[in-house]
Amino acid sequence: MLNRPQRSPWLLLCLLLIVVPASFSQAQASDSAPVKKQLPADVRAYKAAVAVVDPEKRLAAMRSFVKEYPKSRAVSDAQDQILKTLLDNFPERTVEIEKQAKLTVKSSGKRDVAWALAEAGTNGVDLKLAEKFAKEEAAHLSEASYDKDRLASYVKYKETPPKPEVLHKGYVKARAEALAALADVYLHESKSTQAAALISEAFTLDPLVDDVNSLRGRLALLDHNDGLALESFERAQLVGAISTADRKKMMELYRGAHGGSEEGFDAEMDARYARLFPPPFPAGKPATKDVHRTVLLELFTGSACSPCVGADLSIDAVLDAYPRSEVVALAFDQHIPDPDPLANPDSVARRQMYDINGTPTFVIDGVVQNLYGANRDGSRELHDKVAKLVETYASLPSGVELKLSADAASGGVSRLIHAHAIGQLPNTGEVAKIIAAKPKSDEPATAAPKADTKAAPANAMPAAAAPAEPQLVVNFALVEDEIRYSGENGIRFHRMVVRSLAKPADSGFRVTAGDNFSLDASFDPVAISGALRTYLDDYEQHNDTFGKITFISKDTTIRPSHLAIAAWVQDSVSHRVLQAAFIPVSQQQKEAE
Amino acid sequence: MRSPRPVYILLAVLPLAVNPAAHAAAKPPVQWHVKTAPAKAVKAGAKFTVSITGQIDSGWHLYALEEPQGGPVATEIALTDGDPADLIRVEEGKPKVLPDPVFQKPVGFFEGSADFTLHLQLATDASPGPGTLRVLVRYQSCNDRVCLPPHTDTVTVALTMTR
Repeated sequence: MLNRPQRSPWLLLCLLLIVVPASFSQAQASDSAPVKKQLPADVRAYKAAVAVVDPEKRLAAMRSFVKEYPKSRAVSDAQDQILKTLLDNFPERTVEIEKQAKLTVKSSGKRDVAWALAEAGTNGVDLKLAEKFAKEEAAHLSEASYDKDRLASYVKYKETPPKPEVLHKGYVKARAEALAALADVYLHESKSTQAAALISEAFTLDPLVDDVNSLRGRLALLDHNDGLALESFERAQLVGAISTADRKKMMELYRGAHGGSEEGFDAEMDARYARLFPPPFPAGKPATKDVHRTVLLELFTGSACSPCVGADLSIDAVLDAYPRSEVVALAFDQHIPDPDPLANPDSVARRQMYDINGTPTFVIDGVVQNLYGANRDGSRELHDKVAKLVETYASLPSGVELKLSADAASGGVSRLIHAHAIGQLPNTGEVAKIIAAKPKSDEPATAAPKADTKAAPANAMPAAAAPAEPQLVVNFALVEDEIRYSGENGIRFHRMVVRSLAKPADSGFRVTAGDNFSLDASFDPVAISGALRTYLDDYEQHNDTFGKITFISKDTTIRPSHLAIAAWVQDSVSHRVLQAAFIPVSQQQKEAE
Repeated sequence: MRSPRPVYILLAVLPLAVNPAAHAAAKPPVQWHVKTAPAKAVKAGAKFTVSITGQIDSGWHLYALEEPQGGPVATEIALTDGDPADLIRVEEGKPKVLPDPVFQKPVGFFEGSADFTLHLQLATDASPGPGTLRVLVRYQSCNDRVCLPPHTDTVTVALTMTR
């Protein structure tokens, strides 16, 4: 509580005499500045109990919390924590564990408790009870009972129920997980024949469940089938997560199969990922009508953002279908909705320049588009819209010539990358006309909404709002054409990630309408990599959105063989982009292009 | 059983007509106001309640105060540290609870509007006179088509304090 300054007795008396009804005046402020908060008392008490390090004292603190706050929403978490603490630290206290397991089942369900018991200690704890729970769960779970339970919820809340195929997909996953829980118990009870039958059934039902794949790996180890064990553990990691022990075994198996080296592990996982998650649709290029410019397609995305999955995949397909002479696609990662280690100060500043709040957001030639994200299944539809927009913008006149070259300086440690752009600009009047040119109005998804349309993005520029005096700039981006990083949304490969800009995101090298230009920019990948690492280190400690965080990975290695340069001519007033260009840095890439 | 990849809203029941203005514009998808607050002066040390309501834009959900592990980030309600009251507990209206199609776990959420009641106790050393409580509401805004950054709104509540 604040120690507020004492008021004079007279003033106090006056205030006591005049009982002023509280007004309901209120204001809502959205403030990103960190404010110290006072959580509800039960949440504070629970957090304090979780923070107790000594397991015996933590148990006491948790039990005391449950007793003191029996109606708190954190009670179920506390029951989980009590069971976990017992299993992790006191597996010999079987009577206590049994009692706690029965309590925990009420909030966590039989399957999770069975799994926790089976995975505890060196070879499970109270496997008899675990088997009972797992069997009951598996016996209860039929497709009819699953559908009945699910549909009842939708009826209760008057919501449209999911399609039958979605329900079925949910059922097979739930069934596979239930069978996996029982198989896990059987494996710990050395009943491998029963376990094998269940694992096989579960894998047939849903081969993308991490636990099923982990168990398949463990079973293969028992059968001395190291190849299948390795494959299963790798699959488990790619579709979800595996335990520390399984991961250790996986790496052991990999080294054993590769002369003691782990060098090719990532490449093998890449290939397996590609097989598990092939492109959801074949990349195809619509028949190009008129291409008058190279379109700049900017995607503001996030590796923790679920609807960004469809957006990322749609951009992948655009990149595969179109040559860089027609489309330059760039990804600007954001800390939305969660921290993203591929984000950097320039990518964040570029989003701020466009006044974009959410991810994913597509910007084509400087115009924010009325497009949304999607899941993997929706990526094709999204791609088709993006491709159509790209075609539309490509058909607009440009009048700007832009030629780009780039080379990595040989020798030295840094290997500076030099980029050189030359170009020619039309006169001011022509530039104004080009900026004012709008996509055809019959295109359904273009960002040329009426200025007063409520649904229009706030920053979508009405096509007629060209500035009287354009201020043209050229900027360069250092781009890594592919980064391997498995973030929260499961996307493993991130393409065309912008690592750095030559000039601040909202500016560039000034160029003059009617003139030729010749510009140079250089990038030092080693210095940029170091700066990115510092940025991520700082962000973990200080940011105004999340408090202290830990990134999944802080690998800021920039691979020289994957570098490219993008450049574009943009009107810094309207943000309209008039021309773009792209060039790989390495000879190998240039040849591939 | 693990759910290592939190995916934040996944409900297939979302209306298709998500308001694009909520996508790119600065306006947050939930607008808060005070529903009820003590009409009379609150005595130092006395218990009282404040209710706030969030008006949720069409197409958006507000998550409940508790969500399963690995699921969406639960809404959090707190008081600003230093305010002259102790936040004892927070109650929420009944959220809809529907299975999350990805995790097969029930997820609680609100549509249209959401009510929260804060049970408070005025500080024993609260200075008599007009005072203000600053209620902090932090929530995650993701639907199946777009994500916004985590967001904290401050709802100010005016009240009169007395001895």
